[in-house]
Amino acid sequence: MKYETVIGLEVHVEMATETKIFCSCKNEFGSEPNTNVCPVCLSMPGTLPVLNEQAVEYGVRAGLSLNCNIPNYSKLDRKGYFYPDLAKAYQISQYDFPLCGHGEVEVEADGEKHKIGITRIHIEEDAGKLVHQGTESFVDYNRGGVPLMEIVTDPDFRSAAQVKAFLDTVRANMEYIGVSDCKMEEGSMRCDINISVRPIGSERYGTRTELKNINSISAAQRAIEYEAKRHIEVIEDGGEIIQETRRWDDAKGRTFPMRDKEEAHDYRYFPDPDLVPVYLTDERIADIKASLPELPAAKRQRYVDEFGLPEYDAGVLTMSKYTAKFFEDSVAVYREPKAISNYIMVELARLLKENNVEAKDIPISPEDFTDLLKMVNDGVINSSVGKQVFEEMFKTGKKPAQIVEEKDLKQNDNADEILALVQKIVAENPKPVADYKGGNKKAMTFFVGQVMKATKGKANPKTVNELVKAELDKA
Amino acid sequence: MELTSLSIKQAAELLEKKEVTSEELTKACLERIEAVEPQINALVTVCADEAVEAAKCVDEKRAKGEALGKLAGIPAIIKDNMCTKGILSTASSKMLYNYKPVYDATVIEKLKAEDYVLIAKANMDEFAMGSSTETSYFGVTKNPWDISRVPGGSSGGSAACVAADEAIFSLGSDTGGSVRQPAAFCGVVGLKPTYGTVSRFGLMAFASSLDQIGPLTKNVEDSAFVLDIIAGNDSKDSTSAIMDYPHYGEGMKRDIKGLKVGIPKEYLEQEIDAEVRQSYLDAVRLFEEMGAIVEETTLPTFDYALSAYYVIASAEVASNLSRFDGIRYGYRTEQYDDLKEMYKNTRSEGFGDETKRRIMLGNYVLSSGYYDAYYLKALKVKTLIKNDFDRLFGQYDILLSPTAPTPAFQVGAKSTPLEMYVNDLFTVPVNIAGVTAISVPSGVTKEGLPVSVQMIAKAFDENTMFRAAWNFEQAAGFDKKPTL
Amino acid sequence: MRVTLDEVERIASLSMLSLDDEKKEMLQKNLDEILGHAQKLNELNTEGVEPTSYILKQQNVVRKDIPGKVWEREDMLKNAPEQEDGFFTVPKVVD
Repeated sequence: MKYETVIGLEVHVEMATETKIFCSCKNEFGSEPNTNVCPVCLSMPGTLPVLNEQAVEYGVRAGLSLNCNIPNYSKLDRKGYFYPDLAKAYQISQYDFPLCGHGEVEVEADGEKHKIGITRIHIEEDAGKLVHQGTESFVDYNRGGVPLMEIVTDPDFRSAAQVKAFLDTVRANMEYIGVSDCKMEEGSMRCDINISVRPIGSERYGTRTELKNINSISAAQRAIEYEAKRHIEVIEDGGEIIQETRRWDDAKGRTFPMRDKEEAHDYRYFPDPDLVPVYLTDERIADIKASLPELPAAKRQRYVDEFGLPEYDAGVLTMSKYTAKFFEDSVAVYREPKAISNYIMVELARLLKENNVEAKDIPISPEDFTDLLKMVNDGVINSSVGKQVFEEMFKTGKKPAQIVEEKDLKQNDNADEILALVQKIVAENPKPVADYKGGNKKAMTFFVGQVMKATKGKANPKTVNELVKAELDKA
Repeated sequence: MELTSLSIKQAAELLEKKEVTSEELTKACLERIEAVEPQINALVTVCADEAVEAAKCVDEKRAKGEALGKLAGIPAIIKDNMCTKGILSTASSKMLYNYKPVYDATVIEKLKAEDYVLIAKANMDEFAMGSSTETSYFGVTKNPWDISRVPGGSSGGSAACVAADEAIFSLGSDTGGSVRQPAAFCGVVGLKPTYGTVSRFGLMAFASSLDQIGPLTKNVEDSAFVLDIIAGNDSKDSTSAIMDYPHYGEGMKRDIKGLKVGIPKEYLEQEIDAEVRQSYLDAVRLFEEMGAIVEETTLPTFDYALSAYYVIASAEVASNLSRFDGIRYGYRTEQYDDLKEMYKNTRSEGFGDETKRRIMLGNYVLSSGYYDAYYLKALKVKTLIKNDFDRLFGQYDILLSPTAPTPAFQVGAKSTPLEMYVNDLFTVPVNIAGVTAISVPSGVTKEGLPVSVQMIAKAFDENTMFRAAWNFEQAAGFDKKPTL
Repeated sequence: MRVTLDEVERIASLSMLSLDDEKKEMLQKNLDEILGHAQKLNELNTEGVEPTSYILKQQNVVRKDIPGKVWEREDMLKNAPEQEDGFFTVPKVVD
């Protein structure tokens, strides 16, 4: 039988506010344990929460970026459960009136477009962190009270690739609107996966399991593929899937049942009497909407329309607002979109990755970058030297002209000089000449390579090619 | 007259004229505490050294002619559920037997800004749940008028200490009557401000949607005076009212001719002690004599307020007390092998029976399957009760009722929770409706126990209520003191 | 009885309380009595009545996103029954 995988996500995104959601402690990653805490986030008796207005604003921005309907009224509720990282033993969250209602985004995977429904987005506080050691656990409440939003999707995914595309989209959107850096490795984006399988054509959903501990987008893909296979195997063997929460172990490449928190199923939600409702007027929502920057999807389309870029290029460039900005700033001074795009997608991407630099920290200015492209285009340097110079620029921050000057990398386009070299090399290598004559046209590359080597890569490859061919044909 | 029986107004005058120093006044209170505490147990912590120190400091400032606050050098006692920095704040629970807050409640900051002298922390029902101060981990507080009786609760210590002249005034907290009922039992004035008037920041929450801090004082004037100091918007409390606060007490001494007073008949239809009833009827007559327009009226939802109250308050307290888990502060059991045992034993050993009962009740009414039937239903009933009050306050300036159905009862007299809960019957509707009320002594019974009447005004109309209360106080001429 | 012993146990578990048999029975009786009293609420017709969760008609009480007072870690930890190396400590959490 053929099966279809049905997936829904709960994506937690930590908002990049200055302070926590209900107190004025710093929202900061990586501080010494329990140094970003105060009586409020430690739940000391008598303390009260006061909502951070920026968390509301960010939540609405996020919702609008995912085309969510924003209701006027929302409120905060308490969700009760005991866990040492939850200082009040209830989490302030939102139950029946979330900040953002239904939305929809389009993602592209395996060459097809899919619409993914957003069920809701609500805001809530994060819990602290536990470190386990020996017979004890150590509690650090620095993260307790960090503002989170939870994006809940409809069960609209049918493949791991769609999930990846969606998470990429969410990450890009959040970065564009300045709400979060969405680093799964640092936990600023976390994702729980609800997954089930059903025979293709079936209307009914299968029993689902919930996967936790997904620490990267690629882990999400691996976990989905593993778990879908596990479900199918269980069903094919005549077994039944148990509705449960399972933990993904990325090292082992498997999921394991989690010991459920015993009372996890009765959270006793009720409106938090320490807080008052949030009321957003239509004007306020419209203002926030108007303040949103151009979002990745719109930008992508514009790159295709305005710059004639292939959709693929447009997609890659707009994945990060920093890359997109670098592209746009470069095109503004040098209108060669495709050449710029190629360089960004290949050379820049490689250097960023190899040197572990984030797109927001690109160490080259668009002016220097386009100067380099111009030098290549004008034949001042050849294209392989161009790549070399680019790498040097990336590492030293020097201007391309200076590097070319210092290293004497100017292209050699002196036909006489090159011809003399070609003739010399042809004369010294009768065997490849014979091969060429015998019909092995590839033997030509040997001569081109030798000439380039002799000129330290600086010869104009076009000239070299022409002269080599002419000499060989003559020989 | 003894120094300790002075009102705030009187004490402030003597201090200002330098006829007495704050040190003398404070030491007089400390001596009084030493003399009567063994009998009444109104206090959990006495901060004698700190108090004398603070008093001396005020005296020095005064000697130097420096500017001083409105409560300069006046000794006060604070209910033990309000956080006082560096001073034990236990809420009378074993759970917080050793807890010293690192911050001051907003009300404490305000009192400090007026140079008051904190002399002690008052005993109370554990986490403010009770009507008799019998549920305290630190022992029962006794009524200064008759030490075989309770002082009421939950602010029993705060009421008893003022009645017994251990301090010039005190603060209590009122969730369903916890200031007014003990004030009535102890023959002092007790105020429950409109919800939102006094910041709750630093008040250990019982039922967040109902809790208000209020003063217990020797007269109505002091009550308004203290409210004027502790009221005001606080950015640390989202439920603190954002408005222009009036000058509390202004116009208090104007007569009440033409004041419209409603007498909700439901109060008198309850089982009420005969002497309480008589004292109340006398009060009604006094209002008429003073020129008020008194009319019988009806509060049809009266009968439902108590049930709604127990559902709502328990739900909130179950959640509010979940933070006591033995991790960040307070008591932790010594008997545990794993986390769950640590949680359960800590909470089972740290909380008393009444607290456990309310936690259980609260979690029951919030739990899956019961939420709609109990919690949501109670919130809807709350709407109806509020509507009832809104309607009455369209017609009347104040409502008049007895504060409690009986005078102070014997220690140990209430054997079931419901018997105890019924004590709050007359006070609870005020909290549910979020309005304001004051309890003012109206007389004493043949057995020599004080009884009081309650005046209720619409939200944020304390000044009309103070005027009624002050005029009534003058007319009633209550001047009895316990003979302790 | 409206409230069963099983329910008392379930609620005790939600409440993180351990109760001996005597306490369980006492609480069963108490809860039953109190909830019985609360049945009175059903006499009132609340159809179409909105619940009142917030008595004050205040909305949007928020704070600016500006860091406030930094507290000393020592003060934050000093009331803890157990602490080590700047952490609060608990018996090992197993998930």
